[in-house]
Amino acid sequence: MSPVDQYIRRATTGLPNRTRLDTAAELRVHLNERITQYVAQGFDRAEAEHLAVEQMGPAEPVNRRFLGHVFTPRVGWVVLGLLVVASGGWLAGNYLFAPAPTVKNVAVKAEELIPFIGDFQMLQLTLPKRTKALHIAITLGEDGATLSGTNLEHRYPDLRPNQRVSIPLGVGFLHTALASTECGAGNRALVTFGSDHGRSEMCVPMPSEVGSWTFLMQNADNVMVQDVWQPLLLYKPSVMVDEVPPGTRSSWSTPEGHAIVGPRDTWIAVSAFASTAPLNDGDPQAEYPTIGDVVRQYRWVEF
Amino acid sequence: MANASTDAKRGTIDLAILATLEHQDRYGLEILTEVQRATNGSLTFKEGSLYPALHRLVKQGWVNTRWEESDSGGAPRKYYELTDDGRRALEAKRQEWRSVRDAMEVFLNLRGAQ
Repeated sequence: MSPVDQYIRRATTGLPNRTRLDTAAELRVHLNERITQYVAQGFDRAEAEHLAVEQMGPAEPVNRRFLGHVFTPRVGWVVLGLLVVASGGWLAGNYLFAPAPTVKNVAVKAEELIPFIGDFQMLQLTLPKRTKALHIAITLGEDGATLSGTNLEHRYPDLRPNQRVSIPLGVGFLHTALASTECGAGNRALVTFGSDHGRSEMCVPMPSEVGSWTFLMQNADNVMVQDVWQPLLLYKPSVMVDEVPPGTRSSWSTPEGHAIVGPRDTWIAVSAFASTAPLNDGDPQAEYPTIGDVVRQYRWVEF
Repeated sequence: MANASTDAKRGTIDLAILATLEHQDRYGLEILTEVQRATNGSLTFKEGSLYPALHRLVKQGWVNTRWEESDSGGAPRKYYELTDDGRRALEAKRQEWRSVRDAMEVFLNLRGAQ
């Protein structure tokens, strides 16, 4: 491409087609007349072209003035490149390197403790992409008996993918004499609550061991794609708090089913306070995942 | 954003172009040649900057264009002619320029006398 063609292309690039052709023609006439003048002065063709283009000055400022703003194609490409890089970073951050779904215990601040509850626990959930809602359920088991329970479901309709949310999850025994009296001799009042859903009280025979397991599952494809089992706390009548020791899972079974009904792409965090009692087989549609291998057989059923 | 220097240059070029077209329609290179001849080469600018200035004047409605065959047998040339608005703009700019010039002369004379 000759210097003349290069100059004209750079000076007129980005202009609307009709304007560009008109302007290019005008610039070419100008440059050719200059070249003719230089040739007449004794310069050869190449020298004359060089001098004529030199006389015009840099093409970029001319192009900017033609366009009427500084958004030249070069600047446009730079901006486009930055947008692509930024978009790539956002995609990578949100999808490629997105944090894995997790459930973990986090420290509870003193002001969050509720005095009349024996213990209190805070969960931090890292939710996977496609999360649209979250349910929390707490179920309770009674030692040696068919499980009864409470189902503290909660729905968070405004969740964002990969969002980390802290869910207050509490369980404990009421210590007041009144509560124990109302439950009858040999019973204690057990309180559970999840998030701001409110709390549930029930009478539990003593002694009673109540533990907790938390898992996270997705029903997007009607299969559980991930389960995160994490022991919460083990409660005994003496309000002894202890980690569930490894290897004791087999002695804990899943609580009786409390069905959680939700749309697809719903992630569910369940805190299951299980007992040592064997469970009924239950209706498959109302069956929670059981601890251990059975959990992987869990199938979400939409109602 | 244009700075004061850019605005001043732009104003100068605009005034020079309008004045060059006051009595005769001219094409780009002819405008340049006439400006240089009339100012004995005192007023010079990169030739490329002429055409964005001409486009700006056309957009403002101060100048019209037409393509015309070259009288020397070369390629057709694009001629520029002043519109009525362009003549009024020229007169306004001329007055403005004279006011500035007179004010500067008074100012500089005073400073020189001190």
